Amino acid sequence: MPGETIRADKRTSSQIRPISSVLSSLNRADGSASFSFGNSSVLCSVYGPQEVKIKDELLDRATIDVNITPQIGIGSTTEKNMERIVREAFSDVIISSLHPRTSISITVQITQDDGSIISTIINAVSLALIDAGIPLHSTLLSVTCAILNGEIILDPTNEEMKDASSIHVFAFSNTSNDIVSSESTGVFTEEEYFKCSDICKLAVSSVLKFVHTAIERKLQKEQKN
Amino acid sequence: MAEVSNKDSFVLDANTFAKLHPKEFYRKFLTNNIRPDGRLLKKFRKTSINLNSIKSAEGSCVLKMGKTSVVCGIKAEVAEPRVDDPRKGYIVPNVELSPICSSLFKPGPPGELAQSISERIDKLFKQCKIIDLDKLCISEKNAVWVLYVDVICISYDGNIFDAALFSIISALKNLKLPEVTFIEEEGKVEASEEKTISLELLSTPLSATYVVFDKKYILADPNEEEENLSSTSLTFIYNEQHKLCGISKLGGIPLSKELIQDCTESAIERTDNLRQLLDSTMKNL
Amino acid sequence: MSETTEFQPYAILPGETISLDKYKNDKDVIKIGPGLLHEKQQVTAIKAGTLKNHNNQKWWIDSSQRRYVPSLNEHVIGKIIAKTQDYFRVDIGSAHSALLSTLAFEGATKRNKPNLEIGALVYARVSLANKDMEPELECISATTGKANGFGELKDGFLIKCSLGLCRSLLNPNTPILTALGEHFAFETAVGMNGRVWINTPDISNTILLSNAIKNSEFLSAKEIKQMVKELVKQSEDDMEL
Repeated sequence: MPGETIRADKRTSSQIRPISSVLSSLNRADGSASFSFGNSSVLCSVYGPQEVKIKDELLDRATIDVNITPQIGIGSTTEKNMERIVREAFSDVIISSLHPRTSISITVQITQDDGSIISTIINAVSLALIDAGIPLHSTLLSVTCAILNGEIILDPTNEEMKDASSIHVFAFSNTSNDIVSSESTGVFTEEEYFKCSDICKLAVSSVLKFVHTAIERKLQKEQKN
Repeated sequence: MAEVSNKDSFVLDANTFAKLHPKEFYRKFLTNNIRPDGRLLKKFRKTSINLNSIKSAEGSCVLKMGKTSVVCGIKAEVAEPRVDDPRKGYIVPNVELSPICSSLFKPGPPGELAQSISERIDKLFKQCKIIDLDKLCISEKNAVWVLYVDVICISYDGNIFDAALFSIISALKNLKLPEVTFIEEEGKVEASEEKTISLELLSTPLSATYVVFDKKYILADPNEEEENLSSTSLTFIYNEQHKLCGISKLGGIPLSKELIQDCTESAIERTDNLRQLLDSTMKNL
Repeated sequence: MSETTEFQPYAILPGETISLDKYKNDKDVIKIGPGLLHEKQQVTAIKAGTLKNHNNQKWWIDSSQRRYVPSLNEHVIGKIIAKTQDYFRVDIGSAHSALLSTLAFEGATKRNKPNLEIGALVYARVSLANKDMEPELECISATTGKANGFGELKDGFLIKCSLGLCRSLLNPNTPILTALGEHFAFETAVGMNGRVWINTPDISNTILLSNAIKNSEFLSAKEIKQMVKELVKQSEDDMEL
């Protein structure tokens, strides 16, 4: 598009980085997936529905447990906050009433963090849950955008996030046009917020297309015989 | 005793009905636009603050929001500045939710909720200029002020984030630091007896939290029961210029843009009211 | 009479809805199977997989997962992990362990109870499966009360595999078992809970066969024949040594 700024990595403001994902890479887990936006990548494993500790047991649904480990060192409040965001986002996506008194354990290892890491994590978790065959109401996917020098840029890198005036993470389901999960920080106006949500919604539909193709390919491999 | 009949048409008294069918109980009130505690759907609980009650702290605030009570204490210490920024002081927020405030919390290291709130407040301070951190510098590369901001919940009845943030901003506004000089030769910092220097807040971001019940009822300032019955919460952080400093939608029920837009007016009104409360309380000190 | 169109199986993600209107005749009763949920007048996929149907009447999603969720009347292989006077506790790989009554065996009475040790393998039928209760097993046929192949599996070797592989092994014409059967004599039991038991007189053959079955999951029929040929050759070479 004429007049659109070119970013440091030669992308336009409305371009996300190349996406890639690998399913079922861990052979002990019930489900696993890795997902990356450019240089930001995470690996996620899912175990469940499996036995739950009595103190965590819920009588009418499964207990969802999320653990995120950063690239370097041990988790801090940053990771705890991300765990809460992820757990709450998937709380209504996972049909936990089908497996009462069990636990669904989601473990995420950040292998590389170059911005938009929460979105990368949400996408990896979605794919890992799908790989594990956990019943889901919908496919939840996420994209981050930032407002830098007054312009909305999609899928920012760490460098871009540092200088941004606000950062917005949105997650959408393939069953509704409404916002499922939203975390926005910085200083911004309501207008900017809703514009960001529209832009992220469009980007999520292209991530959805990619996920669909990835699943199709995996199924073709399984159906070979 | 008021009697309410449930779907199976055998009659129960209100308290029993509330225990057996909590969601139904709430629905009966919400269809009449009122909540069991008597509030209208968008009404926030009565909030009161008491400033400077902790003499040993440089700034403090005791806050009550309905039955949720928090105590915020700020201790200022002198420390070496962080390597990446030798000219700035820093703030360390910490929110504690222990068994004293509710049986929901177990003893031991901070749980997910406490850590998540501490992190959100830390992010808010890092991304919105609330305090000019340069003003916390005593001597570049040698000594800076570190503000340890501790929020302890003493009674938990929902909406801990709004309470924690307001108590922190109130305590910060009333922070009084002593005058200090850095003595180069001894590598020491000398402080005056009196605490006279107050910190100017560049911005006062405050929050308003709502929960969504049954996908259609928006309840402002949820108490603990309402938090348990809803799976989705929505928090707005507004500054005094009515610009947003944060939006957090946690939970799985999708919300439309219209619904979110609907709450913004009420959130702006609430945060303005809190600012007025803080100003009038400070005037009366 | 409404038109019915030809259906092609396709890959589907959770959350996608299926419109069955163009596939049904007015008097048909449509049955919804695994992976699909009928909610609010819509049929939605809750798992990712290939949407398949049988005669446009039975619809399901074909997907493979590793964790077993107990379902009534499925045949499973379990391991005894505890025993009491009245029942055995059996691990079938599901979230909760299953209960197997000591009387649920052919010819069992209060005085004559089966003598199974902890660690023994049993082939049983799921007699109770419901999300709120612990699953229950029986080692007798539902209709005749006879053992019918259920009961203890002595000796042999147990392997764990995906649920999809087990389902394909239960097909009588499955390429891997027929190919192996041409060269080896072996006994096998397939549990729908992702467990397969194999027994041959020679232990090295047992290991060979179990590896072959595990490896056959993603191979085509031709590749399976090739792999079995190589295995036979390898075992003959070993015998010569």
